[in-house]
Amino acid sequence: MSLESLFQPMCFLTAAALVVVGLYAVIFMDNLLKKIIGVTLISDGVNLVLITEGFNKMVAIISPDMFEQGVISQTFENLKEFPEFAAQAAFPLPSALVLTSIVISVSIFAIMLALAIRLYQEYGSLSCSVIFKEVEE
Amino acid sequence: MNLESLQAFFVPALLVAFPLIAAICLNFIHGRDRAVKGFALISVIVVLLLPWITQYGVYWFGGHPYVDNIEGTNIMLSKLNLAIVYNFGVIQKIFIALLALLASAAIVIHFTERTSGVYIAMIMLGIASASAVIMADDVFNIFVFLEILTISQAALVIAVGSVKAYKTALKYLILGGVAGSAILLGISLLLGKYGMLNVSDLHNVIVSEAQSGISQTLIIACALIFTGWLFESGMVPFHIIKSDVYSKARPSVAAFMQTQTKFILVAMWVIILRLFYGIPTFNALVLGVAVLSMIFGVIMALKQTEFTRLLAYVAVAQAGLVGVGLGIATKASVSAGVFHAINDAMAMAILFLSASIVLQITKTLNMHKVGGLLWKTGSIPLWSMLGIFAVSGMPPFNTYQSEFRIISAASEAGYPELSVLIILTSIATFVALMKGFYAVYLKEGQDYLGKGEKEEAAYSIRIEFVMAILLAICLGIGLFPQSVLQYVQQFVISLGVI
Repeated sequence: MSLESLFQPMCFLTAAALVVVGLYAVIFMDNLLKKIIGVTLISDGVNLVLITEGFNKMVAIISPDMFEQGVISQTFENLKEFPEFAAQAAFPLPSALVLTSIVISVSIFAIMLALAIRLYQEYGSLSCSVIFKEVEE
Repeated sequence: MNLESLQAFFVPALLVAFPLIAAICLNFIHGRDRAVKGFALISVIVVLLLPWITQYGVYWFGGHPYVDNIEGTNIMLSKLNLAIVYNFGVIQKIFIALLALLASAAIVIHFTERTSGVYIAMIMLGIASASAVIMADDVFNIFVFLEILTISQAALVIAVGSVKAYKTALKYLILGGVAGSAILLGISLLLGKYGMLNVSDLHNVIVSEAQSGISQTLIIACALIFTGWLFESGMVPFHIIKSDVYSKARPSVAAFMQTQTKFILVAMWVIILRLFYGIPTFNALVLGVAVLSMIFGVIMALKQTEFTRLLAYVAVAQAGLVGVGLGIATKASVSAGVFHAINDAMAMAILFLSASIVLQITKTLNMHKVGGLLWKTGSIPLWSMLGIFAVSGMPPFNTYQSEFRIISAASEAGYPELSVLIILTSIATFVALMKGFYAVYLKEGQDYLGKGEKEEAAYSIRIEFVMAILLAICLGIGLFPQSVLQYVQQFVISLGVI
């Protein structure tokens, strides 16, 4: 198995690991900063899934194999004439989407951090069990 | 410029673009009170007018038309439509006009105080993002604006300035971040499998694929986007955070937020239904969470001791009722569900605005601390009582028409037990709201009213004016339901999947 063929599965595995670690941090970590980092890890994992899909070898957005099955032949019928091009080209749309997604994630990250700083000033701690104590009570 | 070219200028994209531009400008003039108020007033007028002068139809921009090949090369572009598509019909117009009305109310009724440019900018962002989600026909555009909506709602909670509000906003952002990622992952699976984002294109491809069976990728994508929908619409298990957000925001803004939530519930459901209606358990899932939201919402409302929190849980229960109509998934039930979303958004807004007056006078919404406002607040108790009748689904108000239709549709679809449950929920809603009414208006007066029995408390007349307008609309639709229902029915038929 060539390194190239392993590239996409490895990317998906990394993305899955990022999402799982992020979810773990959001659900189980007590430190507010770790929770916030968890949210960004999940977001990064999803972005990695998107960008990996642009690399056409495995997901085959415009690979000849898929439109031979007739599933997406209505949409991509014109690409049939250029299977070599289709097989080699990366799909540019996910890159554009990831760029937008990153901008949004950064905005949310910034607001979350600002709130964390404000809560730290109030409670002198970043522990959720301290900050959200009144809510639990 | 002739009339035709002037009309051509008012495209649906302007409904999104104008509030966005206004929000950017308001940020720049933040801190200059008179400039902010002047610009906000102009923005409010434009935002109120735009839905009425915008042309109906499908509007798209970006993307590329189909071409044979690129000159000088042998590269052929696919029929892939990368355009951003907005669909603007009568239902979208009603949704956006109502959003604009409540957003304008949230802005204008606080004009007596020093006005923050950023605060109004966030309300404008809320209008833009909700309008985009309501009109958009591509899933990524919807994701982007849902995230902007989450940020704007969190910012409006932060604007209250209390530590409790910060905590609520932070929780909302964390959950919103996770829910947003779930939606994006679902979208990326759809993109990976089908290579497109346009809902209509995806619908066609999925329909043709469904003949040979539903793929697992589609089911996972559905589950992920469905999770995002639960968050955005405040359904179980996200009902607590949603009601927390409503109760921590200013009541006038909460009136706007609960309207956003109800309309986004419907708009996102339409998208999910068009994409995943082939999945057999989809409607059962929607119905299940909607029933749970309805029950939990009303039970939680009954035990609240804070007036806005009580209203927030009633709003969640009513969103559940809208979900029940959608989940039964017959033409009659879906029409009734969408109709109820419009009706209840208005009726709940009346009560949230009354809470705004209570807060103005008493500086608290704790039901143990308020009281005795019956003879101190002019006709507000009357408007509030009528608002309670409207939310509880009593004739002759509009919600009676929609609730009655949901109950009938449930019975016709073979769910008589659901009809009983809806009636019980309506009764419990009425009891919960009457508890709030008693605590605020009928119970003995407290210290803040110690100036003398006959002295009237000072409150904003603007709020009373907006409440009266909303009540008049509720009554009008209640007496002439077909004036709105006919468009709702046409909209449901045009979906083509029910």
